Amino acid sequence: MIFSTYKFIFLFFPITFCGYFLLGKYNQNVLMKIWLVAASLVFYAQGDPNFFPVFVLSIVFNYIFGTGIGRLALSFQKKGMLALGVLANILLLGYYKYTNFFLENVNALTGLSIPLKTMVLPIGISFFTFQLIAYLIDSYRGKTQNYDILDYLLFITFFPQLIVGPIIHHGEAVPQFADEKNQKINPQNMCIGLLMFSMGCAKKLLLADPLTENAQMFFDVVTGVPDMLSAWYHSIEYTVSYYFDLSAYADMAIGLGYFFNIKLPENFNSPYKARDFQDYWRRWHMTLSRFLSDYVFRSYYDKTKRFHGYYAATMVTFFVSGFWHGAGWTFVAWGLVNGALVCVAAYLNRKEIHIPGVLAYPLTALGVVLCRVLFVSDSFETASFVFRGMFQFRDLAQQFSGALPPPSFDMKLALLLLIGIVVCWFFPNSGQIRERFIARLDEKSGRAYPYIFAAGVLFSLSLMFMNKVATFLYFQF
Amino acid sequence: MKNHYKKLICSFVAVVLVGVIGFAGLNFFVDPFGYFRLSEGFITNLESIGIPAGARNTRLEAVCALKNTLRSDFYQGLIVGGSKSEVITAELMQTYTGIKYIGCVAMYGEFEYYEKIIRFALQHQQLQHIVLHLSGIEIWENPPSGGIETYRTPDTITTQMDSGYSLKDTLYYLFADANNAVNSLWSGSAPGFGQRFSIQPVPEDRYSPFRSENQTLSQQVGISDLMDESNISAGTARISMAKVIPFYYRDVREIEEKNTWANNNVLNAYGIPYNSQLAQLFVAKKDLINKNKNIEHLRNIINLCNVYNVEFTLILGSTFLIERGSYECPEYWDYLHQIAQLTDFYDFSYFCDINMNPYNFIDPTHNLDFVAIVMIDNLYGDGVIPFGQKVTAENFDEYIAQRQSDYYALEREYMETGTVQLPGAGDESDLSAIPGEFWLEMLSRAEKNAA
Repeated sequence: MIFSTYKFIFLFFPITFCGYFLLGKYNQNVLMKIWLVAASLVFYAQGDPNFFPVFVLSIVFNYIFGTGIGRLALSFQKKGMLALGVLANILLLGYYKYTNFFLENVNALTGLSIPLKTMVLPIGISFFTFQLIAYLIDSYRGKTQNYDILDYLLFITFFPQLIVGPIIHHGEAVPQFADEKNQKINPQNMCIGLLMFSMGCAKKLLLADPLTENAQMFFDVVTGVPDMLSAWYHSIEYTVSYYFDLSAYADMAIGLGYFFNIKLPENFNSPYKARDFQDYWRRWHMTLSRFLSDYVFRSYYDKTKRFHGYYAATMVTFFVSGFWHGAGWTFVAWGLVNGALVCVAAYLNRKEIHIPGVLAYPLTALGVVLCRVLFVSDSFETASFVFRGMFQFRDLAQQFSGALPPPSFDMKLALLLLIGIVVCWFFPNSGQIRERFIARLDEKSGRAYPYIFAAGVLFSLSLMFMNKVATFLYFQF
Repeated sequence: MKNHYKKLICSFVAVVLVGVIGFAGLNFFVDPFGYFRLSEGFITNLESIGIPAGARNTRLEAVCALKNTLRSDFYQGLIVGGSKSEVITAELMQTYTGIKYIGCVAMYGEFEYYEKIIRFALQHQQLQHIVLHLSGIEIWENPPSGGIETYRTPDTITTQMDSGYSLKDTLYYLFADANNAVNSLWSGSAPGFGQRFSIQPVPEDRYSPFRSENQTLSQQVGISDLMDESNISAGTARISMAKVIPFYYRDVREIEEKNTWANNNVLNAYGIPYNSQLAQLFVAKKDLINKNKNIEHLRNIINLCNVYNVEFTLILGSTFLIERGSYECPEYWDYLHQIAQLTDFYDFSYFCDINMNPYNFIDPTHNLDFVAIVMIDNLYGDGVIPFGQKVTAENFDEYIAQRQSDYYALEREYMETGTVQLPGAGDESDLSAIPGEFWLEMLSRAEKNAA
């Protein structure tokens, strides 16, 4: 189920919200949690009914394993059980996500023609698998022993973050679910929730969807070198739309979390305002970066060992990140390129070589756009065509001289893209807006009203476009 | 303090309410699907009033047309079918039978729609005759779904209301994706507020043939104009019979363009070479997903016609060789057998020169107006050009044996030569080569007979 749909907004959410706090009114705390878990499972089943039984089994399996690991006394037993649990999760993810990739490569290498499997990637599998692995590892580390099964279930299934994150850590989620203060309706949090959800809806429906559709149409038909203007235009368009799509989901998830008095972590912090790639990855998909940093980078990084230094650990982490993002070599290449750019930035920062801002910011933006081309291209060939198009000045000269017809762009979408660029680079992000709103919320001067009016207008505008909502881009991961 | 937050939340709700009203107002006044104009009592073709092809819903047009003419003696006959059926015009049928018809032809025909529209018409109108024109392709695939307006079956079709429209449809169009309205406004194609109220009602005698020189199919309900603009912009111009007989205008090809047209749009349509398309017919496995469902719907339609004591005519339309690639196979022959057990039908889809001649088609799945005239002339007229056969439960075995034999002969030819030879331009079976006077005379005679 997608947040920005009539079905979710006018049916699923009101029922879930009212049921939850109605039970809270009668101090039925356990029933409240059961209600929210049940609603979250319904939410998942609506999106992926075929995978639903596997999803439930996976959650139960991990709880049993996590609890078991915590209770075992001997270190080797704990290690063995952890390895088994992590392996089971990876195998499940691997089966659904990488089987065809594996078969394609086997076919290519051996000349065989093993038929590919017909399978659909279960929604959210990449995200909740991460959370489950984190839970198992932390159970091994002894950080999860006192978790109640309902709190555990809520941590995994809580519907706002279930499909595309933000990837929450049990350490920040479970205590919030367990806190009885959070089980009372909180009008202040509702106001914040309205603001965040409205901003998310507007980002998704007014900016991300039309821009993504247009950019995707371009990339779908790239079978040769495109003209320079088109290549740049649609690459920038995709770069902008990707940010709005992902951050829209995060905003909506955070907003929904506020309704239930659960504070979900921030996921984006104006990433396109980054000065270098190290900075960029601190601002982009922050909860994923945090997870990879905690569970991949730190597992690998060891100053005392050869080839386990910062740069190697960074490259390994980005290799995993690329592979996690998609079952394809373009994703791996995308991860490695990003890793290399982060290493360059880290090197320059360590050596205190400061590139002037006037160069640093545009260069980072350029790198982001070029990396996005690699990410959204379905093959290296497509990416190569687009890259070559981006630097083919001959066509541009001919277009200006009139020898070639200029590319035609939809002016409405061009205007939207311009608005998107301005918002990305020059406006405060939704987290900053939320903080300003919170600062004004308790004031009696009425300075919070402009925010709530703006939220109302954005939400109304979003309602107008809800009959044609595209799935979120990260549903494919 | 709590009141402060409540006020904020109420302000939000108030703004949203105002926005929702504005949103519905935008859809109502811009009316990008033409729904609110249709509900004002006009029978029309949505495209003719500026609705873009993608936003046009021929099923909706058909229902609105039926609702707008409830309890009138406007027509006594109903023509139902998919896009291929648009050549069976109300005027053509009236010419031959003498009664007035209304055409409820939908883009992308399917049996569920056929049953619904026939049920609705029978429940609300005194009918004498129903013509159901089938295309074999209904057994094989369904209209695309997923929010594509063109193929959406309106809810109002199933309601029992005598007038007005269902709440569900009205809400649907009030809160339809605003992109349609915005795009209409942006492109300047939106009829807009002023134009909304300037549309003229259609005269009630519009279904009489040869009424006016300016009468075209675009004035009819439920007619999908597959050709027009795209062909004009592609460098070909509409011609011919439309100039001679105003309501026939599928025949869009300039005579000198005939060869190019047949080559590009019929034989090698969609950029797929003719011989490759034949492979689909003779080699590929077919999955006739709708077989049982269609038979059930047909059974219901026949029962309905019996209950309302209405004459029912089932026509299996003229079919080009390539179209058969999707379904012609033993299972399809069994489907025809089941149809024959339910009712007699007129088959124009058999293997014969008219069906094999690409010059009788505008694309692999749609034939020319001329073919339709010959079909109806064989049903109700003199049958000057023999075409078609009546299939009954009694003669079915003989009929299907011939069909199978023809199919296997073509299959042998394909396997041996890699292709199938077809009749060409100017052959006896090329109906488009026959002068206009011939058709005028045929129709004129038919009209006199009917009178």
